[in-house]
Amino acid sequence: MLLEVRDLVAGYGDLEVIGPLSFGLNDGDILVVYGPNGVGKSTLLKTLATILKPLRGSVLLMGEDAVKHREQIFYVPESITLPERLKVRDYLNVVSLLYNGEEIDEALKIVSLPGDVRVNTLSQGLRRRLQLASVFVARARVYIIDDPTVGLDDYAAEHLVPSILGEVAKRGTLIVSTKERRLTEAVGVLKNVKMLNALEYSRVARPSERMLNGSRHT
Amino acid sequence: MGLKAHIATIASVLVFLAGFSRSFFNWLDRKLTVHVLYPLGRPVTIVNPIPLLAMVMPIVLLMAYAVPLSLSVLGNCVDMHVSPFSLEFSISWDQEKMAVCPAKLAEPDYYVVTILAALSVYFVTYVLLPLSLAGLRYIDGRLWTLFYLRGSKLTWFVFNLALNVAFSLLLYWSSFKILEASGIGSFKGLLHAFSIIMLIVVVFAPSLEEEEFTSLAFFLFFFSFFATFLSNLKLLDPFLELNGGLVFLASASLSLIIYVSWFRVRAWLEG
Repeated sequence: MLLEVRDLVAGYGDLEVIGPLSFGLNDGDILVVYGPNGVGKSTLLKTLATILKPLRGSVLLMGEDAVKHREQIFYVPESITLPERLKVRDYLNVVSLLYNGEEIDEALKIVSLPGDVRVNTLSQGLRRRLQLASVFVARARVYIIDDPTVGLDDYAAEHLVPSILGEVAKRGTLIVSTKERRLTEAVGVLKNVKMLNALEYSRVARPSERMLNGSRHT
Repeated sequence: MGLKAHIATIASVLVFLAGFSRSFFNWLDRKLTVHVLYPLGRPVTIVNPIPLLAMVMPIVLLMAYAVPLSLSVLGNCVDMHVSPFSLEFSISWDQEKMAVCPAKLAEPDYYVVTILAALSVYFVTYVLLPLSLAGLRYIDGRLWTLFYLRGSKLTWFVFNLALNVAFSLLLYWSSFKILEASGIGSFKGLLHAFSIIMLIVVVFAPSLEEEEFTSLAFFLFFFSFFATFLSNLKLLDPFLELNGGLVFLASASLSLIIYVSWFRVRAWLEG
């Protein structure tokens, strides 16, 4: 088992946001964490990425506390924060260097981005594409992507993102969160996919949200 | 030169500053790029210095002209020194000279001229500070999760900071020499500037456009106020004046501690 989560409760301080939950992922597995806004998806992903400490339970990577192997985790946050004054190619070079990664030309081709433009000249959608491109140039065992469709247009969200996620899953274990039902369905056709309905485990979701969304746990 | 002439000089400077056009700022925006270098196999960034100098030099040149001119109203009885964050250091006068000065201590002209000149010097030192933005720490704030997960090496930080300070100081020095030539700069001022630069590069460089509350810039911003407060304490004048090297060491140590602890604090604040 590459990644093992045992009775994990994630949150901030005294506030328990999501959990307890347990699951295990092997190399090549995809975990889709889905659910509406505010149920704790990002909190869970940050905890899996070792950015937040678990309030209870544990996250094991390669049989040990994930913190000991955090360099094997590549995390793409929900926020689109990039070094604005860098050129696209420079940004990817930095990521590649930090993660002993790969050539960047292929990544640029996949997300259809020019390498010689400055990041602050890109639209919101193109910036998100750039963040997704960074996943291709980083070499890690676990890739965690928080809501990959943020800022993207419909075409990219429906066609580009599922194909990117499929490619990433070939390189390691992928954990991805989404609030988009269409992405859940698109990724659902890939191999070794596990679904996790964050709403079921949320400790902060309002009762009305639970009723509206119902249970879709697969 | 009378008081009116002095005020006219200051007014002309303000008119000049107001003349910075939209096209100039557009050019500035285009040219303000960050280049990545890979010494020792690690990414370090450096800001294109040309737009920074283009922004600063006209103001420096005007101040180099206007301040000594306004001080001549007092018969050159008062000396000015470029000394960031500290007006107290920047004015010095001689009792004997003052005795024969055209403007006496009790006269309004003396206060108006010295205050305006001191504010001008104060202003130009703040204008010079953007030169410290030629920072190598730029990417750390933006890509903080990557650096956090992959670890931030102490040796890498020291190397980056040393290179950053050297580059910033080179830019600062070129401006400073102009002020020195005009009679309002001194080595003492530069020594203080050097210490302050150590803090400023860490305070501002990582986040030129960062607006998040938890950015390194905001986390450290209070240190610039802290430095201002310290340098304006009369009790500390002898310490700061005589032990610039000590101030430098203190600044460097603070910068190091702050930088390393920032990643952990950021992780704690995240979300």
